[in-house]
Amino acid sequence: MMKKVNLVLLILLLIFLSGCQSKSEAARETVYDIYEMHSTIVLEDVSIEDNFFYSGFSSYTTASDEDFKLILLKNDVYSELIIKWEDFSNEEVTIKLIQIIYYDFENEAYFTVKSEEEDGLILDVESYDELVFDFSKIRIDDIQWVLEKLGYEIE
Amino acid sequence: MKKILLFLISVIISISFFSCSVSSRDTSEQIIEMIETIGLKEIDQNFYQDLKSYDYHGDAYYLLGEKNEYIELVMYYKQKYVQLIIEFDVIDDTSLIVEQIKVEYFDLLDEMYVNFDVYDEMNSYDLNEKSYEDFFIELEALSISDIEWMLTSLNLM
Repeated sequence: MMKKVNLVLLILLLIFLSGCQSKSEAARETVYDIYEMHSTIVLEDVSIEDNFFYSGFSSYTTASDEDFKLILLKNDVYSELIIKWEDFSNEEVTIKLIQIIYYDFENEAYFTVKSEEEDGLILDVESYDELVFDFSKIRIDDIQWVLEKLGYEIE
Repeated sequence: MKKILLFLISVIISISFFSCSVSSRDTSEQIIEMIETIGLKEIDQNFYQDLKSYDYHGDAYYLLGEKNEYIELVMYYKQKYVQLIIEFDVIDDTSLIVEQIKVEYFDLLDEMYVNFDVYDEMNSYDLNEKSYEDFFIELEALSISDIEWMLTSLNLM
């Protein structure tokens, strides 16, 4: 009896974990799609002096109907995902800007990848809440996946 | 024998907890001293209105900084948020001068909001031969409750 209960709990855990994984994978693909919608992607190196200090962890999101910001810090990588958006209506949103700030202190790779359109680009979405919730699940691995898919080498 | 061992372990744990809380409280007291020395407070009255339009997810406890330039401490846990930014000016190897302090605090559950800047070009605070590295480590020990204690002591909460 106990073995069966354990087996059911294990299956439920796996289902839960795969659900979390698919949310994050769907979100990172949306981030990649947003970059691909733009005609220009600007990569800029950032000058970080040797005397930069960091400590702690973060997987923190702020969002409003004007902008979205995700701040990630884990081990030696600090990253921000910034999106400026407007006009959430009829399952669409207008994206004005997307930017990833990426600092890998161990490998000394510091850069930003930015795309923006003055008039904005239309993205199909289910709802504001759904989009923010999905994007808040993005982790460092997902950011690295997006950057690699865009052709930037991540060590 | 077991009782003695248990007693010793509990004494060690209590001492470490006590020393941690004392050191972080010392740091909070020093920040209060800085704020009171520099003196000028500019409170952002629109902070609550700006805040209301935002959603928050996740957790954060991190510090970023550039040596002798600034330290930013951000904490977000259980609907409470703190951002403390301290900017420095260094004249020589023995002086770490605090030029500006910015504090943002909110508690979404209890609806408490504080946002203020402290700066005065004519007045500053010398950390008295303390190095940037040492002060960074001291700030690492701060918790949200230390900041709440600090704001209460300054009559800002």
